[in-house]
Order: sequence, then C-alpha cells, then structure tokens
Amino acid sequence: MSIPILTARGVVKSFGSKGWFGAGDAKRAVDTIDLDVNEGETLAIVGESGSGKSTLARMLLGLSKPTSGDVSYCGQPMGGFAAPDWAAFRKSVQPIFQDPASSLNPRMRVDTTLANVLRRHRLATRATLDTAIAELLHSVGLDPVQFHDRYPHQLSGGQQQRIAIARAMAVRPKLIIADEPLSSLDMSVQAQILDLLVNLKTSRNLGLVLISHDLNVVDAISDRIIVMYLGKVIEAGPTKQVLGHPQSDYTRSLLAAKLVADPHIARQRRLAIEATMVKHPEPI
Amino acid sequence: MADAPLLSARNVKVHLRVHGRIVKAVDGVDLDVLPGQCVGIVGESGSGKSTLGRAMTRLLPNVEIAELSGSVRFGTEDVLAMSPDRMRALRRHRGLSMVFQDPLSYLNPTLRVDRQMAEALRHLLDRRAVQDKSAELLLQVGLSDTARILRLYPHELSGGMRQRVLIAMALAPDPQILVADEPTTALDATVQYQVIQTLRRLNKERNLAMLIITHDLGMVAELCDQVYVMNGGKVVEAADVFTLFDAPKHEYTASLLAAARRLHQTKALGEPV
Repeated sequence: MSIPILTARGVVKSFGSKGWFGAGDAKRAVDTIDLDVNEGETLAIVGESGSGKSTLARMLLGLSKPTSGDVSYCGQPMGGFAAPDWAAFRKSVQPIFQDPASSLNPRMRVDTTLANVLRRHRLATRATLDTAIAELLHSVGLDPVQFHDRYPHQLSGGQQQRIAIARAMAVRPKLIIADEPLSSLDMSVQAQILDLLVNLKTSRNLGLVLISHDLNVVDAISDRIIVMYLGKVIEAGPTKQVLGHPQSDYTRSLLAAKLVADPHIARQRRLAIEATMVKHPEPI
Repeated sequence: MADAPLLSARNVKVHLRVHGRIVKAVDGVDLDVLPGQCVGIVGESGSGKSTLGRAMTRLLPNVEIAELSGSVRFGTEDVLAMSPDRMRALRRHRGLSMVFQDPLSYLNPTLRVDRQMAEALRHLLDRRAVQDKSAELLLQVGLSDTARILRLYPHELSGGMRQRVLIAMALAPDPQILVADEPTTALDATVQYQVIQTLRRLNKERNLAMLIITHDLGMVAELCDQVYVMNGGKVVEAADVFTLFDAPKHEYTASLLAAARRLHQTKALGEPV
C-alpha cells in the first residue's frame, strides 16, 4: 500500500489550559486521535457540536497546531515543515468551509478570486488565465460568461459554495477537507452540491475528508467513517459497516435521530426508535 | 373535517418594499389550521414561508410593508384588523404563541430562567403558583431537572434546552395554537429529534394545534398532518402529508422531494435494535 496523504497519530488539542493561578482544567477538544486518509478515498468525520470534529479538521489543514501528537503529510510531520513544504502542502490539500459567504472576499470578483489562486501557484500565465478560469467555473457547473464578473453578494448560497469549490479545485489538489460544506444551504441546493462533490471525486480521483453531522450526506458519499464524541473516536470503519451494523450506543442513537423523508416510515419507526434513544451527557 | 378552522388565511398578500422595489413576499395565500391539527409550511429560503408566518401572527414590522391585504382569522376574529390590545390578549390567554429559530436571541441573557418564565406567567398572582407552574411547564417539554434549570442563565443551557425553555414559555398562556418557525434548525441531530418528539407529544396530549414553518421535509414527514408547499410567495401545493409524499402533484414539490430523498434516505439505515 502507498503512503497515506495525511496521517494523524495521537493528536490532542486542549483549550483553556491553566488558569491564572494554576487552577482550572484544560478541556481536551480532541483527545488522542489516530487516522489515515488515503489517495482517492472519502473519509467522513461525524459527530455533534462539541465533539471536536472541526478542531480536528483545522489541525489536518495545518491551521492550528496539535497540543501533542503529530499530523504528517505524505509521511512528513507537519511540525517540521519549512516554507517550501507548506507551499507544497497547500497545493495538494485544500479546504472548503461551511459558510461560503464568509470564506469569499466580498470585494473581489469571482474571476479575481480564482486568478489569485492560479497566479500564486503559477498554474496559469497571463495568456492562459482567462481559459483556466472559464474551465474552473465550467467544472463546478457555472456559466463562465454569466458568472466571471460577479461579486459574492450577487451570488446565491449554492453559487457561492460552487465558487469556493472552484477555488479549492484550482490547484488540482489531491485532497479536499470540507467542514460542513452543505449545512448552510437549502435542501435542493444541498443535493446539487453533493452531486458536484461526488462527480469531482470520481472524475479526478480526489481524496475528501468530509466533516458533517448529517448521516444522510455521509451515507451518500463516504467510503469510511469516524464517529467522534467528546473529542474521542467512538467508532470507525467502512461506511456500510458502521451505518449498517453500528457497534456503539452513540452511533445507534445518531442513526435513530436521523429524519426520514417518508411519513409512513417515520411513523412506523417511531416506537422502535423511542426504545433505542440513549441518554448521553451533554457535549462540552 | 367538520371542524371550523382555528387559524385561517384567505388571499393573504404581503408585499415588502426593499431598496425601493416591491417584493411580493407572500402573494395570495389560502391556508387553514384545524383545532388540534399539525400543519407544515415547507419552502426554501425566500419562498415567503416565514413572512407568511409573521403575517398570520401579526409580527411583521410596519416600516417596510407596501401592501398587506387579505384576511387572517383566529376563530371568528379578524387578526389583521384586531386592536393591539385585543392582539395582546390573544397572545396572553388561550390564543396563539410563537417559537423561533434561534433560541438564544429570544431569551434575555441577564435573567435566570425562573424570572423569564415568571414574565410569561404574569396572570398568576402569587409567587408560589408561578414557581409550581414554571416547573410543570418545564416537565411538559421534557426537562426534568426543573429546580436546577430554573436557576440557570440562558448561556448555561445547551441549545436544545434553550429551545425547550422557549417552548415551555410559549405554553404558559395555554395557547390553542403554536406557530413554530424553523424550531430545530440550529440544533444537533439527536437534540433536534428530542425537540420534534416534544412538539409531537404536545400536539397529541394537549391537542395543541401547530403551524410548523420549515425547509426540512424530514421534519414534516415526522410531525405534520397537512402540508403547504410554498415557492415564490405562492402555495404551489397543499395536501395531507401522506398524499404529498406518495403522489406529489406539482413539479416543484416533486423536485423538493427528490432532493430530500437524495439527502434523507428513505430506507432505514441499520436495524433499530
């Protein structure tokens, strides 16, 4: 087997360490996590708010440093990265965030946003820039003629998220880390963006780390799942196995709370579900 | 269906003035909620569902309205023509209560839960009665540790607890109908499920009529009896929940359902053990 793109070993992130007088406990938002992301694979990290999934994503992206443990990119620990290593890392691992409106520069037109990325990574010259931008917009399902000169506020939420995806795809990354990419969108738009991600992933052998609290999305797209609760991994394995035969009570209660878009099933399942709902302490 | 509707809208239009242009947010909507019935309004952002909900509860800000016409009836009374005093009376006693999406912004951050609940229970005269009733209401929404919760500030509650405290406060005037605008959107899946079950129990046990405004067809499938689908300020389809899901008549409903099924698989994952 080849080396995984990203590896996390014993990763811990604690917040609010010592108080002023040495009192107070550090909260471990992420508590000793190991994971591998292989090429072309979709790994879903599932959990409710406070489970530490977004904190983990930030560490995988190199946006914050683990308190202890290490994240490695292609076998090389991020702790020892020099500037050129970061450049190479940024070129192959790209983020997509939850709220596209706040992750796009409001004063920058769509084409400028994309041009900046292409120029920064020397992926286009002045001559090829326009074609490259048009291709990118096309690949996320937007008409270049219509959309290249828009500002973010002139776009709908789904269109903004498409631009954010185009920006991430501009560097032809090996891996995209998407933190709740669908949850700020309308349901019909969610379905479209989900299809777009599935499409990009299969056509370009793109790896994807999908952070989500929505088991429906995870079920539709991921190969493997990690279920997090209070900073720890509760359950991990292939999607079919984890969702089909959940081993932990927590995963079962997550599955039980999943809404079903069918009134017949919703009503039939209700009694069975009520018996399985398990009480858990409140997340942090 | 012999019952007369508890809350009904006839040809309701709400046209708003936005940056000098007229936006027809709600454009001629008819809607009925029968006593004890749970009715859903589904639509995407911008469909006018929240504006309709606010028009029916007289909570629209006056400044930006270009046109407000049609009739909204609560029982036999015309809600849109009601005097402010009468409207207040309707909210305070056996009338109409509302719950909104973001619970934190509807709670006063500087007051403990007990003080805020007491405000909703001003009709009770002595303190003892207020305390007892507060605890009873919290129990009804599934918060059992009442003595502790009453002493907490809003920031000390979790999202699901806040929403349930607000539902408890909405129940204080013993309403006949509860209007809930995206009551679970800000909540985690398991908490969302608990809040939905709380609403369902109140609907069944107290025979409390409900108007649920949501974009989530999963929630509608779980909770509602009758559904109105809105798009572009108009109701494109109205049907009972089973008919709507089994045989949608309108193209837009069908596309919403297709999107929901892509996201909410209709088969049950895993065995409910």
